[in-house]
Amino acid sequence: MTESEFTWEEALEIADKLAFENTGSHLKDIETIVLEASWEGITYPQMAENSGYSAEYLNKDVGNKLWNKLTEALGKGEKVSKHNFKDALRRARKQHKCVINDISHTLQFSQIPSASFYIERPPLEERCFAEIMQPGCLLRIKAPLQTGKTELMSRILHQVTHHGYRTAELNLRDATGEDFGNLNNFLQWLCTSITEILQLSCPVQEHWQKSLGNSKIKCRTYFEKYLLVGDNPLVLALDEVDKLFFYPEISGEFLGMLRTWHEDSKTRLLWRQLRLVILHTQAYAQLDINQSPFNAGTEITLPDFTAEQVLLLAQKYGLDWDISKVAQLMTMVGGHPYLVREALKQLAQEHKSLEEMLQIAPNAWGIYRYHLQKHCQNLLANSQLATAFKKVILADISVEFDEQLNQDTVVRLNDLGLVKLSQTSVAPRYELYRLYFRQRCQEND
Amino acid sequence: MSTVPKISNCYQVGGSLPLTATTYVLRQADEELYAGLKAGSFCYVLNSRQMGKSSLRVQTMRKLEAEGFACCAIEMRDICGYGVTPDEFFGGFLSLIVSGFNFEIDVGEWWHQHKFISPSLRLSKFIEEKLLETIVQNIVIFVDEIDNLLNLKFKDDFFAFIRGCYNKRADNSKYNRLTFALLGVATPADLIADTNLTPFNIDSQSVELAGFELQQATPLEQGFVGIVRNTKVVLQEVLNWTAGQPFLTQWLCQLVCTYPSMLIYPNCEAEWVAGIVYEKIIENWWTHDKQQHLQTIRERLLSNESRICRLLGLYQQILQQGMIAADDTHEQMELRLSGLVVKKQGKLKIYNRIYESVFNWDWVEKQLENLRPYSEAFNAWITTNLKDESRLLRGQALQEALTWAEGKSLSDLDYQFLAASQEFDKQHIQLALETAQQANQILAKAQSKARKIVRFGFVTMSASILIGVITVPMVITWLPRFLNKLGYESYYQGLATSEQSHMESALQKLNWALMLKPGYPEAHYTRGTVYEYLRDFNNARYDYEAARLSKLPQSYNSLAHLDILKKNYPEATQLLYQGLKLAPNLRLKSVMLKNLGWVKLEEKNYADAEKFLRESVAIENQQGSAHCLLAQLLEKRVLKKDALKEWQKCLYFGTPLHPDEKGWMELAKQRLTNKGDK
Repeated sequence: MTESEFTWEEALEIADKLAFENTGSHLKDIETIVLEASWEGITYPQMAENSGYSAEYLNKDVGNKLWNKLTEALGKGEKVSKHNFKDALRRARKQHKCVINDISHTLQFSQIPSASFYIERPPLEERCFAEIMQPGCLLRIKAPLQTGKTELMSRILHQVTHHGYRTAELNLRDATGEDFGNLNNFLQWLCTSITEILQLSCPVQEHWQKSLGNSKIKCRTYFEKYLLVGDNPLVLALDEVDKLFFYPEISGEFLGMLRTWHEDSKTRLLWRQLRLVILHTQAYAQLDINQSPFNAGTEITLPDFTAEQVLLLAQKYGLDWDISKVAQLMTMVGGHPYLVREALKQLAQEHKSLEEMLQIAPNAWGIYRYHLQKHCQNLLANSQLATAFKKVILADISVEFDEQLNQDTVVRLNDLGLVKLSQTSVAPRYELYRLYFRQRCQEND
Repeated sequence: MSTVPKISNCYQVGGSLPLTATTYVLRQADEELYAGLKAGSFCYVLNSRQMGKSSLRVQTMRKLEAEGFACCAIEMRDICGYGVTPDEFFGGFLSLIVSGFNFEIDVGEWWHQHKFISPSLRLSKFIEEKLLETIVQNIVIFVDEIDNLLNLKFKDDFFAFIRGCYNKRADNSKYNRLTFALLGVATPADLIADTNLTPFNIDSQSVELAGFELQQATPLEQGFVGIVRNTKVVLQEVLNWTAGQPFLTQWLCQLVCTYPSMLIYPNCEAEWVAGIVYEKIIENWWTHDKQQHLQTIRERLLSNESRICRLLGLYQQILQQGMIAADDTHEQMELRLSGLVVKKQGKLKIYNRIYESVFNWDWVEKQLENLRPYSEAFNAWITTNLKDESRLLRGQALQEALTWAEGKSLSDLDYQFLAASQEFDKQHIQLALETAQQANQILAKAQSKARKIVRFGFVTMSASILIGVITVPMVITWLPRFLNKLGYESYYQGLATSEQSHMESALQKLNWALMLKPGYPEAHYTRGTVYEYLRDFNNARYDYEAARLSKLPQSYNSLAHLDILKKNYPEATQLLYQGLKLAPNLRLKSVMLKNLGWVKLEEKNYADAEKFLRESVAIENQQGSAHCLLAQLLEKRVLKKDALKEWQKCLYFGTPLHPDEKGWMELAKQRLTNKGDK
């Protein structure tokens, strides 16, 4: 395993494990937030702005305690701090290697299932394939956490290579804090990464020095001069675009630029070669009234699995199921691809009954732990959303829209995949969420 | 009849229409812009957002290119990024011209060689010495999204450059071959501060972009073929709602084509289209506004606090009077640029019915209510660095501000301002607080009394209520509602736990509610529901009838349901038809349609039954009953495979808490296990 493969998930796993072994309790959500933000190189004042907590609280009450906790857990007399915790955790990983191997294996397995476990969701795939063949297409795949965006993207990219298209897949998570430092750095990172993936030897630095205009124009002429030339279209897929939303000074201009590129394909032959695929969870909320909103291209939303599809997947996992079992599972987790898959996987691997599994599923340490924690973090980062969502989960029936459940909160909760909307009311998206977050509320009260 | 959504790609919602689009609508502006540019005039298209400017540009470029013009489109958005310097701006503009006209030149080197000349002059130099020398044809440069220039300090230099290209025509005939078209969301006055430099007062042509007219809009009809019979009438209905606003028109056309339930009755196009507009656009518009079209209008109205009041006031006036005389003041131009209103024959009107329904009277009132009532004093106080005490609020004004602030989440500065005002006005506020405390105490007493009433039962209640009535008359209006709510909650608990005691307590609370407020329709209705659950159909009918006296829509449905159980199908049908007219929301409507389908199923009128049931699930798919009934219907028609699918949905969406669904779900289980055996 090389150093660059040390991912945030692994780091969190190690940190949590260390904390648990040493103190008997897992990391708190707020600690996880600070850890993740530090991982991304975000300063305390920036965190404070994003999370609604004061910088001093995050630094002294949360951060320092967290670093002390890790220092003690590592027990090597080396003081862990915000600046060196990555290295410390990386070293700690070596000792836990076998455990980690296990985890990264499951993680990989759960996120990108092998082709034979892929469940088609017609007409979704066909529609994407048709769209990507359109000159200058801009495909925006917007769906909540772990609903199969990346899998769909891989399918699309795989499909187009049969047509001789060139593909470049970038995950914005791979960009460093420095790359996100300003628009100029970010665009250079973009060009450099694509050039590397396509195994070209184009002079990004040199182009930047010699060409005219601001960084967006430089980036554009770089594409025109080096990346789009040739007979084969270039498919550029950007995963986890939400990462950009933390950097408003970059995101607005960058997304606007993608829109221009897409629009240009209507009048300029060269830009018809570019096919863009964008993956994100939330809508881009910053609305600049002096610019057209980021609404160009085709938005694809991912539907949940239908009962038939869940049944099919169960069969693929070697489970002898009928539709009533499917219905039972779906009462808890609907047709959410990841939640369904995890359940089936566990049932296939362990000798547990569906009832037993469903019983413990909503617990904080059940199989959906990471998924639910991620949602928790998103909620903790925004107290307004959290209050509104609390109202939804505490009710037994759908809640009508009102002052608190107003347009912004409801749409954002829906984007996060936490709720389902009807014409006038809102309800938790899955029973699992209702049960889990109810427990959380009671703990907090 | 099929309920599978039809996929239609012929309409484009957002972004410019590609050249190949079959639904491009030719307008007068097409001819004007084309003719203007061909004649070498400088043209500008300044208008509100999503009116089809960029689509017009794409089409016009194609026409001109076909006639041998050399064209290039430059979007200002990318050139004008945050903090752009003149060198980057003019260099970027040049760079786009070079790649737009496919120049074989190292423009970076050329730019560097002439670095002693100011950037805008360097651009002029290139145009004269390179562009006009190399390209021998007539040249048109389209500059789109010009509003991005608004915040640039040196924007006047850019307009001076364009004007320069025009002025040079007199001395250098080459310049007659070069023309510009400017497009964007702005007024000429916004764009340029120095009127001597503006290109807008030279021999230039302003192109007005109007909405689609019926006779022009025929290309839009083609998507309707095979979906509705009378395509022209449906298009007319669409335009009635959108007034031809291009974005809304394309959107609504797409909705019409993909709407899951079809137009059933002849001559009902108006109702059908209206239904789609309400369901898919207007009702909770913010959940449908994926393209942020309506949201952008809202932002344009509300983003600048110093102007909100005037803009909303003006808009409210138009809402009230239908139209007002146009006078081109700054506010009116602002409102027009938002797209919300248009100028027609010297009058300002709301652009279309969709805007009018979304941004309606209630909406305006609510926005006004959200405004700081003290914004003037507040802003003045801020400009004095929070020092000028004379700006602080006192007496009545402070009270109003505090009332307004209650329950709102305000900025720190707001709270500082209010706190400072309170400090300054201590004596007044002392008094106010006491009054408020008194009021709170009275209310708290009344509330605790009400709870006790509920807890200790009927006898205590009537006594305390009498006292309550005397001390706090307001409780009397509030208590029955509270009791009805409690009654419903008990009923719901009873439903979930099947414990009889909850139902009894529900009845008790509802009896009290009706005693306090005889004839209270909602409570009658809730009590009817409880009786129905207890299978006391006579009492249930009595309560539903009482609720129907006040035309409570759901009572029609419940009465019909009782009739269905008693097999009185004609009566049920009549009630449901009456109820459907009153149904305030789609949810109730879908339940009524479901029951109507049930009646038809029982009457063995399978065609109508299917029609109504499909309509019902088209509105609300997660309704178990409708799927259970559909399953039975499909069985009757021997469509076994389809029936099984519906049985699955019956089981999936149904709940055993629902007495009808409980039985049907048993059926569903049988059917599905039988299938499994084979």
